[in-house]
Amino acid sequence: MVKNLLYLFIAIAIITTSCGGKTKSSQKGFGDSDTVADGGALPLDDKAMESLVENIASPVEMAALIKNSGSPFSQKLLAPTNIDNFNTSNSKAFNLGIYAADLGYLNMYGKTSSVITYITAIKKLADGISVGQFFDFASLKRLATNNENIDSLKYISQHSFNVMDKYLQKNNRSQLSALMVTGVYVEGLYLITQIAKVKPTKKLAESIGDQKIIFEQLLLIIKNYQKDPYFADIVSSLGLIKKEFEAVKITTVQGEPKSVEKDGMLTIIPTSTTTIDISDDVLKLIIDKTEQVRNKLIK
Amino acid sequence: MIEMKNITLLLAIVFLSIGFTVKAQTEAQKVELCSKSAGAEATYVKDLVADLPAVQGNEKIPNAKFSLILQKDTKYRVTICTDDDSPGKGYIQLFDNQTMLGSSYNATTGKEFRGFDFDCQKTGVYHFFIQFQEGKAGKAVVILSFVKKL
Repeated sequence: MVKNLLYLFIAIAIITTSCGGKTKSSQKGFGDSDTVADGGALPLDDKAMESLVENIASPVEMAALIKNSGSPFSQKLLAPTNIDNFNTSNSKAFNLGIYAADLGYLNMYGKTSSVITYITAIKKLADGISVGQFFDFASLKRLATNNENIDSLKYISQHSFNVMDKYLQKNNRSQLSALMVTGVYVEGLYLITQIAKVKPTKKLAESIGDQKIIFEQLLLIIKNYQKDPYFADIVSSLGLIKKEFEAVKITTVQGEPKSVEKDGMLTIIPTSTTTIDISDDVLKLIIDKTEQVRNKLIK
Repeated sequence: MIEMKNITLLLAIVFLSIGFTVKAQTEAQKVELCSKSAGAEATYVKDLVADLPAVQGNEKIPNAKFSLILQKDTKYRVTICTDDDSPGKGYIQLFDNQTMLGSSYNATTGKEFRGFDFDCQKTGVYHFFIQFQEGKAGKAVVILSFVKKL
C-alpha cells in the first residue's frame, strides 16, 4: 500500500513536470515576498493581461532596427551579467528580459563568442523563477560554441523566451511575464537611444519617437501591478521617460488598405501612415533619461 | 503478484507521462516546422496556436484572437500551418481596430494563401483572428516573422 502510494506520488511528480505548459499552478505556490502584494484587487485579470502583453517588445525587431541603422556592434552597450545581485523573483524576471534583449543584439551581429556569457546568465535567472526547463541552454551553447547556424541560434533564443513567457502567463504569474517584457523593452530602448546618441539620424530619431506608442502600452500593463513596491519603482522610473515622450507628436493619416499578389505571395499594404515629430532637444532628453533609468534598474 | 501489480502501475505511469511529453514536443516541432516554411529571409518572432471547436448551429464561427504590437516601417510575414489531422483548414485575418486589412483566405472566391506579408506603416496594436474554413473544428499554428525594415 505504501509502495503504491509512493508510485502514485512519483507519477504525479513526473506528469506535473512533463506537461509544463498545461499545468495550472497557483501564485501561492511561488510565494516569494516579491510577488504582487495581497490586499488589492487588480483592475485587469490574468486573462485580460494575456491579451495585452503579446509582442510588446521583441528582441528581434529592436536588434534589427539597430543593425539597420548601420551602426557597428558595441560590446560596451551590453548590461553587465552580475546576476548575484538579483535575489528576488521580480529582479530575476526583469533582468532576464534585459539579457534577452542583449542576446538578440548579439545574435543579430553574429557575436557568438559573447553569447555564452548571456545564455548562462539567462539560464540561471530562468532557473531562479522556475522556468529554466524551457530555456534550451544545451542547444544554444552548442550552436554558439561551434559558431554554427546563426538562424537556429536566433530561433531557439526567441522561441525559448516565448515559451517561458507563455508558461508564466498560463500559470498565474503574469507579473513576472510583464517584468520580462519590460526588461526586453527597456534594454531595447537603451540600445537604440545609445546608437542615436553617437550617430543621430532623422530615421533613428523618428523610430525612437515612435516608441511613445509602445511605451504607453507597456506602462498600461505594469501599472496594473504597481501595488507591489518593485513595480511601483519601475512605474515611477519609466514615468521619467514618459514625461519626455509627451513632447513627441504623432499624427496619423488614415487610408484604405490594399493587397498585392505577386508570384503567389500576398502582400498587405495599409495606406494608413503616421508622421513623427521629434525635436533634437526632446530626442536628447529621451536618450539621457533612458540611460539614467536603465542604469538604475539593472543595479 | 503484488510486485507484478506494482510494475504494471509503474509502466502505466511512465507511458502516461511520455504521452504528455510527446504532445508537448509535437507542438514545439510544429512551431519550428511552420517557422522554417516562412522562408530563409524571415526571422521568427512569435507563434500563435489555435485549437478550435466546430461551429454550433447558427452561432458565430469560433475564432482565436491575438492582439500584437507591430512596428512602423517593418515588413512582417504571417504564415499559417494547419495540422495534418485538422478537420478544418485554417486561415488568418488581420485587423487594425475594426478595419480588416487582409486575409489569407477569400471565402467568396475560395482563393487561399499560406499567409501574407504585411508592410507595417504605423506602430500600434493589431488584431489577428484565426478561423477554420466552413466553421469546422481545427488546429493550426501561425508564425509571425520579421522580414526586414522598410
